[in-house]
Amino acid sequence: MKLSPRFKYEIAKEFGGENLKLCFACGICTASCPIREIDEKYNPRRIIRMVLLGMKQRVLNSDFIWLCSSCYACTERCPQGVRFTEVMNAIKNLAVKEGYIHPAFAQQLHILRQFGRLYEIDEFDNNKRIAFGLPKVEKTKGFTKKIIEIAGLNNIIPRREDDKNV
Amino acid sequence: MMRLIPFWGCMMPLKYPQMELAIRKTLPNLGIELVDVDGFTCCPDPIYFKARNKIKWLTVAARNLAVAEETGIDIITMCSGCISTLKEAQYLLAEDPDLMAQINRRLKRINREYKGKVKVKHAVVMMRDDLGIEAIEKSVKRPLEDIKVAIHYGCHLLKPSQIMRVDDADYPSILDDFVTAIGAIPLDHDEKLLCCGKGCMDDELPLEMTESIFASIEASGADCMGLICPTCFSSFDMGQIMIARQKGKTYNIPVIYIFQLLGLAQGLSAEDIGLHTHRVKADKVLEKIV
Repeated sequence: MKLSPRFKYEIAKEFGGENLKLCFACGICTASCPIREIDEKYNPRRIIRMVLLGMKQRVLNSDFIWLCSSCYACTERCPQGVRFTEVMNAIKNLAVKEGYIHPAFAQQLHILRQFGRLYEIDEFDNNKRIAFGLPKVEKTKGFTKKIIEIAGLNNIIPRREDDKNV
Repeated sequence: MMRLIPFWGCMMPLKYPQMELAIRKTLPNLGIELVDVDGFTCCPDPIYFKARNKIKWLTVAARNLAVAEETGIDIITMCSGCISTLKEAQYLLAEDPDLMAQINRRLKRINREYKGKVKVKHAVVMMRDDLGIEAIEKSVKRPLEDIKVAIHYGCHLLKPSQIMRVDDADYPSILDDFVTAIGAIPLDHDEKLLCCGKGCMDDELPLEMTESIFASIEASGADCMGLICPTCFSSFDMGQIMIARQKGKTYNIPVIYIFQLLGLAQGLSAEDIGLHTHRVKADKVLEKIV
């Protein structure tokens, strides 16, 4: 297997990955992790070791990096302040940059670009609201191309053909 | 009257409007005037969107904060995801002036600026800290006596505690105190603090986590689950249907948003707060309310 010795520096440079190298492998992250409790393929301590050892492709290409539920149990308990939830986030940010995108992300972005929200704003949902006597939800006022541009929502993944212009 | 901007987010208005309904009907009884503001987008969500690119996530969050800040009125959120994003964004920007400048350079292109002045609180934190638990007690017309509530805290109201600064992450009491104030009985159970698993991108793992929480609640003898987060709600309400289908086990534990419980205690009917729209019906709880 090809190793990338600079992988740890790449992660440490990502937003949230700064404290990665403080890990002294005590394993309290793994012991606290509710995902690890059910499935051994997600193991925070092992992921940190893999990063430190430079196993870049194995980490970025893996399924396990998308399993973190972001519950922060590890972050709360880490004696070294590694903030593993944020390290995982840094790993995922780098994975996306290198083209490893979970398909659910692409779908979410597609909706977000059109509506400014995580869900389509449609009649079905608005009818539920009307039945409750709540005001209709409209597309965000002032949600313009410029917001999409400054937030960089266009260039994370290629625009899909069927994206309606906002 | 205290005036506050509700930051509704995406899930509550579009997927679970009964939660918004409960907020709109209960908070005015506590002297809160909700001032709706145009122009918010998704907070954006603190798990998937943040995982894609944290700087972009921060830009959208800072824009939302700036939209509220321009009005001079503070924000409350009712969703654990929104509070997680907005509080972390504030924390990171307050900590790092260079980052603040970088984000504001982006915002300047849409003629906005985030100055760091607007205050953001979760509604339950605002109620505890600014109104006081007594104010909740005073608004109660029909105490939920004898109703045993298994509280599910979820993760993002409390953690990371360094940023959220709400309560002890391992021994929280804020929601227990809330439930006590409306006359109900908060019940401890083994998995009270377990994550619902929704953030985990897997077909099976989240359901395993959800089920261990149900098993723990069932053993506790609670009448219902009381929770604070719309994401957790989807895990538990629809989740029970999924568990029944996939695992053949029926729990039948009503899942009730904490402001719906407040609504019942303030004398509202189940329909007033949209309780009838839940997949798991709350009949056994409603029967106990006189």
